[in-house]
Amino acid sequence: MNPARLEIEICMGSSCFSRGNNKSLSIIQAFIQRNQLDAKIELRGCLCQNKCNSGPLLKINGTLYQEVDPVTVADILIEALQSVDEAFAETAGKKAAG
Amino acid sequence: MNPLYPIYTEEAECQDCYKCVRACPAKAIHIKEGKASVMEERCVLCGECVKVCPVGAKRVRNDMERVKRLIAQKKPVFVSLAPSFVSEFREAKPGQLIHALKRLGFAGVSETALGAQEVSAHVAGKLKQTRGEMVISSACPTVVQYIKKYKPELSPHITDLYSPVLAHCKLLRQTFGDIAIVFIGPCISKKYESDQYRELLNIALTFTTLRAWFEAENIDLASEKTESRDNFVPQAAAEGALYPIDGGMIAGIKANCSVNDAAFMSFSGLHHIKQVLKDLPGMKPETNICLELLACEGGCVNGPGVNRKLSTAVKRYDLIHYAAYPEEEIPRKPLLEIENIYQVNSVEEPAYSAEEIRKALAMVGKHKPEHELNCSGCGYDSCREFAMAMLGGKAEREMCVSYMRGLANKKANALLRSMPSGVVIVNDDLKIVECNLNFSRILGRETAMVYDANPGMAGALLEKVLPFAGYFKTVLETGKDMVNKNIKYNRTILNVSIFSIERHQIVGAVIQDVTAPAIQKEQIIKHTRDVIDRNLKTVQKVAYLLGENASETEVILDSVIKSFSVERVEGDI
Repeated sequence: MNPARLEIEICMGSSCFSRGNNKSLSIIQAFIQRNQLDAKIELRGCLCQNKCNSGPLLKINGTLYQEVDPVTVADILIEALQSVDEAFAETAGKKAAG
Repeated sequence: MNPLYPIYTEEAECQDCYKCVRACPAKAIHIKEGKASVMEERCVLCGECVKVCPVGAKRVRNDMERVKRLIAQKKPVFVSLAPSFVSEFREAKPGQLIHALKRLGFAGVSETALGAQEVSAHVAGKLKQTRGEMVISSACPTVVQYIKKYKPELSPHITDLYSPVLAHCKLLRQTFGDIAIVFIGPCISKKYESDQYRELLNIALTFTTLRAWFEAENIDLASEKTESRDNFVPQAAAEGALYPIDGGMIAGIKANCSVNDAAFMSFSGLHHIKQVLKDLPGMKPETNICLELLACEGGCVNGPGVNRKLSTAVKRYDLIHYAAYPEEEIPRKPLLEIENIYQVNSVEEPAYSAEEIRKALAMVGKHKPEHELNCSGCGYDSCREFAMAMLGGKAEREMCVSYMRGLANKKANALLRSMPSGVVIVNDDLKIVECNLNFSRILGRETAMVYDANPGMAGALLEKVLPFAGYFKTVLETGKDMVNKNIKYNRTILNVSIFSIERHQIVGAVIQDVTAPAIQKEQIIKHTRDVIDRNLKTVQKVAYLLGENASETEVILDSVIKSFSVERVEGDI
């Protein structure tokens, strides 16, 4: 697996869905499409995580994002992409050095 | 890039008015099933649709949560504050505003006007070196987008410079290093700039959003404290603060070159600018021309993101009063490299053949040139523009008012015409508004002849054509309907129902001649049915009585039998 990848899990439980994840879902899909990131981002839906109080929920490579406002989703994705790319460059650099 | 466009429609709120279509200078509104949405590839973000929408369905993306997230991260966040803060936050001194912004979590506040001064210095430098050049300022991102999209032949004349805010961002990053920047101002086009030039400008907020944020944090600007370090960084701006009023930019440029270096002109308001741009492509000036074009009428002080609805004169005074003119610093030398070419694709207006346009016009019942009313009810200036919009799929025929009214009339007419009964509609003067042919026929040959001469008999006095106009008057006065009244008329009997269409103003009546052959037949059938029904009821009643009689007889006879048999038994004992 290419380590510089994002695995996104978006909660599609009714609470998260109706409080913003419905919009966030289409934003993520548009983001992937506009920036041609199909190969780099894997998007999955998940059922209720029993954390409705802190929803809407989004999980990216294991990191949980809570109370996600749809307007911030693109920022979250860009930051996550940057950090995996940096991490990848670092390990690649170490390998080359080793 | 952010998939959320800076303007969006709250669909549930949008309802059946084409005000935004009318106001949009780029005709970038798409109507589908009566709901308006913004076409991003055509939109220039002038915000007119947001300003005119009567139900507030057109909204500006609120980036407050994004800014909060940005502040929560590690980099210090600086504000690039648009100079029109002076007319927006009149209740506070700059120091109070800076203090309040710092309380929200910003590291420092700087004036976008610093970037404007940089732009002025560059433009002045260019004007000094050239002759016979037409120079269009790149300061207003909406104007830049409009020209690049719709007047691409003029786009080489736009100065290849960053807009003031982007120049300012570059300056701030050079001064403060690894920081994040949030623009706060009256402009929503800056949101697009921040989406495009994210590495320079992180996020753009409107004054409206900032006010809401202050309110949410219970910050009252007027009573805000100030400290000695609540100053603009790296330093306060000077003449650049005039940029948000029309003529302000030119004042800044002139300060750095000679008045004779160019013919200076300023225009504001995108509709006006469209007219200004019309004849520019063919113009061959001998001296330089320097055009300052601002998309909002009166300049940025009237942008879509401001709260204060003050007169432009008051706002202008505020700005002129605030802006300093530092003799010793002028003329300025450019400090930064701010060369930039904006990448915006021009919009190809599809061409349609005369035949296609004719067909589209025919779809809304416009078969001849005189049918083209050009009423702008649909939001387009002419029927032909509307037809082209329909062909382009961004308009639908239900938007044409005259077509829809005609359709409604035709439907009503078809109903009236094909009704077997006589129908008449009367106004409160007891004059006929409309009636059908059957109505005139029922009333006799004379009336039928009047109808022939004047179909619909509009304006005729009801009393003149029938003797029972009094009933109409009663219904008009009381507002109570009269149902199925049989009235003798000449040698016939009329069944009349009168009902209100508009209480006390317009009533309608349905009239049937019950003695007419067709009606007679119906009546005979009805009577026959009645006789059969009555017969059946009688038979049932007879049967019921017979049955009851029989059972009663049986009971009596039984008891007689019993009484005799008991005696016999007793006798046995």
